[in-house]
Order: sequence, then C-alpha cells, then structure tokens
Amino acid sequence: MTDIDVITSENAPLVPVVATQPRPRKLRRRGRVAKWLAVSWLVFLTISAIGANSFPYINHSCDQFEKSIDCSTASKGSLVKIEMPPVWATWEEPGKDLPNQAASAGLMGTDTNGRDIFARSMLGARNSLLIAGLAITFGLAIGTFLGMIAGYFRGWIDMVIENVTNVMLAFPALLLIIFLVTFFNDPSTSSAAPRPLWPIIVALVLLSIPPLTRLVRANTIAYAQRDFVVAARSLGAKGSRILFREILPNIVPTLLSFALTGLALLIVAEGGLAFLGLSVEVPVPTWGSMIGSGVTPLRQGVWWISLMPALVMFLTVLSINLLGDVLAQRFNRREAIG
Amino acid sequence: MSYVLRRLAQTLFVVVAVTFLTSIALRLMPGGEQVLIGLTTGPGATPEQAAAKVKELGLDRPLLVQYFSWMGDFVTGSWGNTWQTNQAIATEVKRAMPTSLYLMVYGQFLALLLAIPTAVWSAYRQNTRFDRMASTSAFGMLSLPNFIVAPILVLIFSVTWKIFPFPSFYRSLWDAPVEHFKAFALPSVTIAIPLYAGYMRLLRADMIASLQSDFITTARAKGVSTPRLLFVHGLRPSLFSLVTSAAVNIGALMGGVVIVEQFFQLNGMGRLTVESIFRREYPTVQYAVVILALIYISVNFFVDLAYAWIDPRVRASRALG
Amino acid sequence: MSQSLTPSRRRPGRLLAALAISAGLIGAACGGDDGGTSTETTAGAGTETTAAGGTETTAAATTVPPPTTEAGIEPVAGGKVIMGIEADTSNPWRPAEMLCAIACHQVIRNIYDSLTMPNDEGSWSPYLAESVTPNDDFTVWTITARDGVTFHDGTPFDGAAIADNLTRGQAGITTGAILRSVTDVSVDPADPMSAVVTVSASWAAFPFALIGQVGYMASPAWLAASDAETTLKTAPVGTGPFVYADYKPNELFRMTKNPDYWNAPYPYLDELEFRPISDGLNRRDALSSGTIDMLHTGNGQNIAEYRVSDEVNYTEITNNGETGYTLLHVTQEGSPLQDRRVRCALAYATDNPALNETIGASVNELANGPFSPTQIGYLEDSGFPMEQDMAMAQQLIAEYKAEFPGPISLALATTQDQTNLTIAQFQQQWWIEAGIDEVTIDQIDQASYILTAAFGDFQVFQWRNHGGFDLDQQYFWWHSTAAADVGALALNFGRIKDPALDALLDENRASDDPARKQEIAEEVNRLFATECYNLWGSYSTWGIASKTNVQPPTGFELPDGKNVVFGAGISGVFYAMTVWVEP
Repeated sequence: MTDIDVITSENAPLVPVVATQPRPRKLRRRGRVAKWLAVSWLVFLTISAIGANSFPYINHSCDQFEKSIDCSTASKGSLVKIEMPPVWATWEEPGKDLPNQAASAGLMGTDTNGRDIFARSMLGARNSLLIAGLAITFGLAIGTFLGMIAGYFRGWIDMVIENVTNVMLAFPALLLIIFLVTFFNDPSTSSAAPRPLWPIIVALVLLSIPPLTRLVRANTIAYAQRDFVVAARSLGAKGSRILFREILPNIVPTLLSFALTGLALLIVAEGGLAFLGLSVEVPVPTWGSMIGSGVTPLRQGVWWISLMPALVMFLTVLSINLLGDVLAQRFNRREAIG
Repeated sequence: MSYVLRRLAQTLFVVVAVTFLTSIALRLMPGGEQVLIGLTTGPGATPEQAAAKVKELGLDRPLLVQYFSWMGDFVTGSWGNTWQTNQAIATEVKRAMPTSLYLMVYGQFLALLLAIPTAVWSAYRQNTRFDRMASTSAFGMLSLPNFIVAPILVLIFSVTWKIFPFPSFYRSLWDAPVEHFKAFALPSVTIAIPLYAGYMRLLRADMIASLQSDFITTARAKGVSTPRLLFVHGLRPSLFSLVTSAAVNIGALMGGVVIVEQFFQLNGMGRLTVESIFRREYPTVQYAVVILALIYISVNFFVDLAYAWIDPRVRASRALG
Repeated sequence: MSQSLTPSRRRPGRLLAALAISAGLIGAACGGDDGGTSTETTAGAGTETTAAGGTETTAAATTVPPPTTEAGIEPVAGGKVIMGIEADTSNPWRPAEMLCAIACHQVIRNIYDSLTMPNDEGSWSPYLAESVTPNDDFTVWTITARDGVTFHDGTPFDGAAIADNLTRGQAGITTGAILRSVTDVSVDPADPMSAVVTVSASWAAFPFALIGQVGYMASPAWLAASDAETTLKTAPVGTGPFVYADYKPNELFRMTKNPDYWNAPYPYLDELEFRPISDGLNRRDALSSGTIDMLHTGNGQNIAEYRVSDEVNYTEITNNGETGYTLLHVTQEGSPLQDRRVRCALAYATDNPALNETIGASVNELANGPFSPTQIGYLEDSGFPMEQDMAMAQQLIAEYKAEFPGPISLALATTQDQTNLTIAQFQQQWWIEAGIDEVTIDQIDQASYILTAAFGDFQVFQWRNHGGFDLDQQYFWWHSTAAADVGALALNFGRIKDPALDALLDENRASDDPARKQEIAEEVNRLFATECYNLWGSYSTWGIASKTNVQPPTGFELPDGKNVVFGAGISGVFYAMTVWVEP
C-alpha cells in the first residue's frame, strides 16, 4: 500500500547522510500558538476518547425519550434524524426529507443511521488511535530490534534479516491483510462473533516492520563506525551493552519522528482497510470506516458524514506532526554535539 | 561474478518464498475448497459435479505438487485460462500491465515534478511562510485518504465540468492519445497527491541537511549562482531517501492501488490481483504475485546502481558495509 | 404526513461551495453496488430461475405491458449506444454453463433468442420456436424451429440445434436443475425441424422454462468448436438481433447489428456495447458525464431523481419484480431461528415502512410476501406484519426465553454495500431492543456472498429473489429436496423443510387448473406469513435512464400478434433491439 511505503520514504538510505543538524531559528509567535493549539487538541481528544461514553457532551442521555429510536448518540441511530447537517451549516437542507424531522442536528450532523457524528468521532478516536498506536508500537519494538542486530553484528544475521525483509516487502500487502483479517475472524457466519481487533493490528505491524528495520539498520551501521562506539568496544563492552547504551539513544530521535509519521499514516491506512470492509465490524466506529461510509452520501451532496471525521482525523494528524517536529528540534539541539 | 550470483540467489529465494507463502495463504482463505467449488460450478451443484471440478482444476494433488506445477507453467509460459471466465491468464495480465504501468509512471511524474522544486525551495527558504505552508499542506495531503479525494475530483471534473470521462475506460496511447490522457488524468492526480507529500517532506529534510554541508558553503563562497547551487550541487547528494522511496513506490503502485483502480475502473494489476484473490483464481494470483515480486527485485537492483551514481562516497562506504 | 419525491441529491454547487470553504480553511487541496431497499446483491447462479410453471390462460394477475413508441414517431436505424449495467457474468457465455443473473440476461438476450417469450395476456408465445406443442397429459413436448432462421455463423436453425442445446442444458448446473424431470431429448424422426422432449411427470408449464436460460439457442457448430478450443467459449454465436464483436471481462461486451435478423425491422442500432459498472453511483455519474449513453439501475435514490429529471429519458420496469428480503436459516442446529416465535419477533421488530421511506425514497412498494402485485399468488393482506410492533416482538421473545432460557445471539450477513449496511444496522438496533442479546454484522465480499447462503453458512442474510410469474419457478428455492445439509451447496438457502409447503409446491407443478393454481399460490403466501420464514422488504423497481437523444427500450409485437411483456420470468429484462438513437 502506497501509504505504508511512504513510511519507507521517510528514512531508508542504506547510508545516511551524516551532517550536522541545523540550529533551528527561534520559533515565531505563530509557531508557539500552533504548538499549544496542537497540544490542547490532542489532550481534548484523548480525554474524550477515553471517557467517550460517560461525558454528556458526547453521549446524550436516552432516558428522556419515549421511543429509544428518537435518541441519537454515538451508537443508537434514529430514523428521524438521518443525514441532518451540522447546526452551524445553516445553508444546508437535511439529506433526507423526512416527516417529523428533528430540529437539532448536532455539532457535526448525523449519519445515514441517524447517529451523532461528533460523538462517533470521539469514540472513533479511541479505536483508530488504539489500532494505529498499538501497531506502531509493536512495529517499532520488533523493527528496532531486528534492525539493530542486523546493523551491528552484520554477517549472516544481516543476510537473513535482509532476505526476510525483502520477502516481506515483495509480498503483496493487500493479500496479507485480506488473509489475516478473513482468516482470523470467525470464518463461519452462522454464529454471532464480533471481529477481533488484533488481526488488523498484526497486519499493520507486519507492514511497518520492513521499512523500520531498514531504517534502524542503516542508522546502526553509521553509528557503529563512530568513535564513541569503537572506544566502548575497545574497552571491552559487550555487544548488547553497546547496542542499548551507545547506539539506541542516538537512534531514538529518528525513531520518534518515524513513529509519529507512521502513526498518522497507519490511521489513514486503517481507513483504507475499513473502506474495503477489512477492518472492525460495523457499527464500531473508526475514523476510516466513518469516512468510507460517508463517500456514497458525499457523492449525493451530503458532505458532512465523511468530511467531518476527515477533519477530525486531519487535525489530529496535523497536531501529532507539529508535536513531532517540535520534539525533533529539541532533540536535534542536543544532538549537535554527537 | 560472485556478486551477480549472490543477487541471483537472493532473487530466487525471494520469488520462491513469496509465491509459496501466497499458495499457503490462498489455501487458508475462509471457506476453503468449498467456496472455490461454488464459484467455479454454481450453487446447486451435486457432489459428483463438485468432485469432477476439483479433479479438473488439479486441486486434488498435494500442495507442493500443485505449487511446482504452477511455477513450472509460469516459467514455460503456458499459463492456462482463468477458471471462471475462460480467458487466457496471459491475456489478462497483458491487459493489466500497461494500465498499471501508465498509472504508475504518470503518478510518479506528477508527484516528482511538483515535489522537487517545492522541496528545494522550501529547504532553501526554511521556516519562511512558503516553507510552513508547503510543509503543512504536504502533511495534510498525507492524511487525505484517496477514497475521499477520488470522488471529489470526479464530482468536480467529470460530473460538473465534464472534462474527463468517468469511469476511465482505458484507451491505448497509440490509438487515441487524447482519450488516453483524459482517462488517466484523474486517477494519476489521485495517486500523485500522497506521493507528492511524501517526496516533498523527504527531499526537504535531506536538502536542509545537505545545505549545511561544507561543500555548499565553499561553492557559495566561490560565487556559484543560486539555481546552480541548489539544483546541481545541493540536490544530488540529497536524493537518497527520495530515490529509495520512489523505487519502493514503483512496486507498490504497480500492485497496490486497488482502491483507485476499482473506483475509476482501470483494470490494472492491483485490481486483478485482489479480485482474483476473492474469486479464488489461484493461478492468476500466483502469476501476478511472481511478476510483482520480480518487478520489486529489479527495481531494487537499479536503485543500488543509482546510489552509486548519486554519491561516489557511497561506493566507498559500501565497501565497508 | 407529506412525503415529497424531492431528490435527495443536492445541487453540486452547494457541495462545491462547502468544499471550497473547507479547502480554504485547511489550506490543502482536498466511492458496491446499487442500494435498493433491502439488497442489491446480484448473485452468480440462480437468482434468476428461469424454470417456469404457468398457465395457458389468463392469470388473475394483470401484467403491465411496456410502453410502445409514440405514434407518429418513426424509429431511425443506425447509431451506437453504450450501456452501463450492474455486473459482469461468471462462466460466460455458453447457455448451459453461464451463471446468469439480471446483467447477464440483459446482455446475452441480444445474441441469443429464446424459444418462447412472455406475452401481455399472462401467458407465453412462441418466439424463436415456431410452435411448442404438448401431448394430452403434458408429458411429451414438440418444439418446432422457425423456418428460414440461421445462426450468425450460417448454421441453420433446426430440430437438431434445439436438441443439442437442450441436451447440453441437462448437463448444466442451473439449467440441469430446471430440466431435472426431462428424460429424453431428441430430434423428431418425422420432422427434422422439430425436437421432442419427454418429461417424467406432467409439466403443464414447460414452455415458460423456455423463456430464459434453458431456451437460449446457440449454434451447434460453435458449441462443438468451443468444446475443443475453450477460449472460444466467450465468443457466443446465436440467432439474435446482434452479432458478437468483442468481449473483455469486467470491461465491455460489444456487438454489432445482425442485418439478417429474422424479426425485422429490429434491431435499429448499428452497434451496442455493454459496460459493467457495479457501483450504482458510478453508473449514475458515468451517464451524467456522458461516458455512457444509457444505464439500468435499481437504486431508489437514483430512480427518484430520474423520475423527475428532464435531462434524461426514463423508463421503468416493475413487472414480476424480485422481492428484497432478509433470509433466515430456519433449520440450523441449535439456532433460535428454528422457533417461529423468534422469527416472527424479528418481523414485528422491523419498521419496514420507515426503512422504505428514509432509505429507499419510497420508490419501491412494500412487500408482504414473495409475490409482487403482478405475480400469481399476490395478496393485498397475507398476514405478514407490515407495521412495527415492538411490544409484540418483545412478548414473543420473552415467551421463547421462558421456555428456552439463555442468551440469544444472531449473525447478520450482508455485503459491502453502504445501503445494505445502513439497513443492517437498523435491524441490529431493533432486534436488540426486541430482546435479542447480541447481533453481529458480517460483511462478506461480493464474490462469495451467494455461496455463503448456498452452503448454509449463515443465520440471517440479506437477499433479493423470486421474480417470475408462476409459483413453479420458485420450486427449487423452497422445496425440502433442495435443502442440502449445511456444508453442501443447496438452492434452498434457508433450508426450509416444511411438509405442508412441499405438498403445495408439488401439487402446483402437476396442475393445469388456473383457478386451483391461484389458490395454491395464495396459500403458500399465507404460509410464509404465518411461519415468518423470510422477512419481506420491498418489491424491486428497475429503471432505465438514457441520454435525451437515445430512445429507451419499448415492447414489441410477437409473431403471433400479442405484445411482449418486460421482465416476466426474469426481473429487469428489457429488449435492446427496440432502442434507437435520434440523429
């Protein structure tokens, strides 16, 4: 999948360009504001995602309604509230011309099942971030480990790992995903069984490992030639000690930058999978599945169902990126000595 | 010589591993043989008809035998027909390859055409408004899924302004060049957007590092003009990540842009592979996978050559590693 | 309460404005299927049974003839039309082997003629056949070929050709199931232009079977040649109004005018091309952007738009339509659906009118049984719950749980299509409210969807079926002999094993008394309502929209003077040979 392979693009030279990092200019005033906006957005999102079901601004209580069908929140749909535009989009008519139409429509409108999109976006944050977060974490752990031992010890370990990496990269990504997702679901549709989350995570992990391994290997090779490592070795330090004490700390900034970009890309990738029906089952919300299910209405003029979650996703990804840049610059300042 | 042998051995290993894993994965798809029988015969088939079909397709043989038989067929070129549509698999692949090739080339071209100048200028003018806008918008583009971009493009350019056809029925470049480009316009743009974003960020990061190097300062001191400085002296050593990424994307674009291909109805390799997977057309999937693997490996090989050209220091460093 | 037919599709201008605003804010530049009320799955095999039973005389149901060309406007010969259809076909294009659903029939009826055609008197007329004559007890049928007709490759059409095709049909999967009671097919020794078909049991309505796939006549020379050279299988040779030109799977099927077509003055077009575009919105956009000239759709939204639009010509096909419904697996071991109360609870919990209104734009008529208004057996009130009654649903579940304590869980299978998913989620909600403890929704890829049903690997399944005319056409969907075990392929997807139903189906097959057949069909209708074997949705409507210079298909006069009917026996079928283009 192109998205995943763009991760590769972030850093995969076999030999990195070794140069001193530029001293960053002072962040302008605008930059600082942006940084705080990003942080507050992420904090808000995290809190909402964790407590999604308990906060009243997300989960309107359903007790006050006579028929539960009138209650529109994240998971209970309403036939009366289908495809209502957001309250602030006063120029829009509802997507459907329905009798007994509800008056209010929510901060982001309602979807084709009459559910509140804002509430679902918050719930979806939980799932999307969980899937992408777990995937990138495990991918990082495994990829770093493999890359380091390949880059440091070289020889046959390196050859084996390189060949395995090649196989993983040459293997059609979609086939892997289809296979994992469909095989590990309950293959029989004759009993109720919600789709487990982990096949998708495993698939995404397997897809992020090769580029990570390459990246870490390249960096490890470069650092292994550096003076401080040679010195440590001549002092008798063991391989594992060198790896963890000398090399790993130097790789961390790159890894962090990769992780943040990877997180963003995996969120989008999960969306693509949801669009193909290969992610969590409906009606569990993820940003990707919400955007995907909104494409059909989008083409009929009902834009908020897909563009609102897309906006949320975009803001999140942007915030992550901004934070990543800030962190990278912090690390780079310290790095200048190395 | 041993280098060549080594690479050949690697190639063989990758191809065999990938195709064998594919074989296994196909067998383990849910429904197993049953679904395959159902698809190739029909609901209502009697057990006798089902058994006859299994034998006809050669599926009663052990997996290893089937695998070698198919691989042998691939090598000799007698690929046989698809099970459900009686088309020669070779024909299907021959139809799909050009489509994917064009899509990949046009997408990459558009992306690079825009990314290189933008990245160079961004790196040169780091932290200016241009740079911030370019970087932010690039990141924004990365977070726009292609299944949203495509319908929006279609809505604007096909349905409202009627410039481009939809769906993009493939027209050959030689027969109908204008229609050809019209057909590929929107899909190429859809693909190019995330590519551009990735390339832009990559090149920018590497350029920024390069521009700090001594030899740039020296050249500047010697009075080299800015464009020459940027594009001749600065660009070349910064191309590593970009080249690697573009290379990897060649393979990915050939086989992985299923959503775009399906949406625009361009019957490329990605769509062929995925649809064959769902329809349990085992030989088609196998052969498609082999071809894609071979493409990936060849691209890798040329990329290695490109590294040496990009930066002579690599050759030296490579000698170490 | 007013329900306007205002199309829910909005002016793209507003959308564009919204997009422009969003793009400005963000600073960066910034798509299964048709949706019917229930389901738009086109199956591979067998959704269109062309087996028929039927009556010789007028049935109680009235048929609606298709529109005819306005008087005074003369069709003009010439021109080319590109038409967007729902799907491509599996195992194309030999009659006995192809898995023919609606999109298949629409295409291939231009290459093949069928032996008989449905007429507007509720019966059949000979078409490619000169005559189809039974003996006294309907066990021996003589089919006589029309004089002077040749196949596209020059082979003469005669008794041998008929016999060859029918014999091959016996070996086919779907066609073989339909022809199961045929014991002998041979050329009439007394008349080389006739073939004689012997059946083991009295089959009064055999000619109805010849309307569809069983009755497609292909050239014996081509059949023999494609036996040897299998890639020829996709280059069909028939007697129809168009001649095969080119076929690329999933891309196009092109055909050119047959200048020697026996049913002059048809066809009008010089060239006809079919393009499968499975997504209904893509098809709609293709017509809007001018890439195709004509399309066929079952999507309620699109139909509502086209009805009021003056940018397209529009025709509707409502005859003998299929029914969209939710199929239940009723004899699965350990399943709560074995109990009538649970099934009917699901029916009472579903708010079908609301679904039809909100999601289907009220285009389709609500269904209360498997028979649509023009099919035999239709009842205005079959006893099936047509309104949501949540209290009743909860009561039924409570009763069931009192007797069988423990949680109830159900798996609902659907496609990737957005509309079906929306409906499934509402159903999930309602059924949980009724007392089902867990309902999970399984999305299945299009290719294996029908197989999930055929193998019995489901509990609840969204489906569309049962077009046709006579009850006998549904025999294999409901008879217990077609209910193979789970894990084997079966046409009786729901594995209904009801002796009362079996008896009615068998009686109908042997009967030629129209009044009695009517009664039987109505009893079957009531039986389904009482037992709640299926949850009925709505009757499908098909629309054909075309550019303003492309005249949509009409009916035509059959050789015996009667008029043909759209869709009887095969839902959604129209006659492309009547299409013409205004120059």
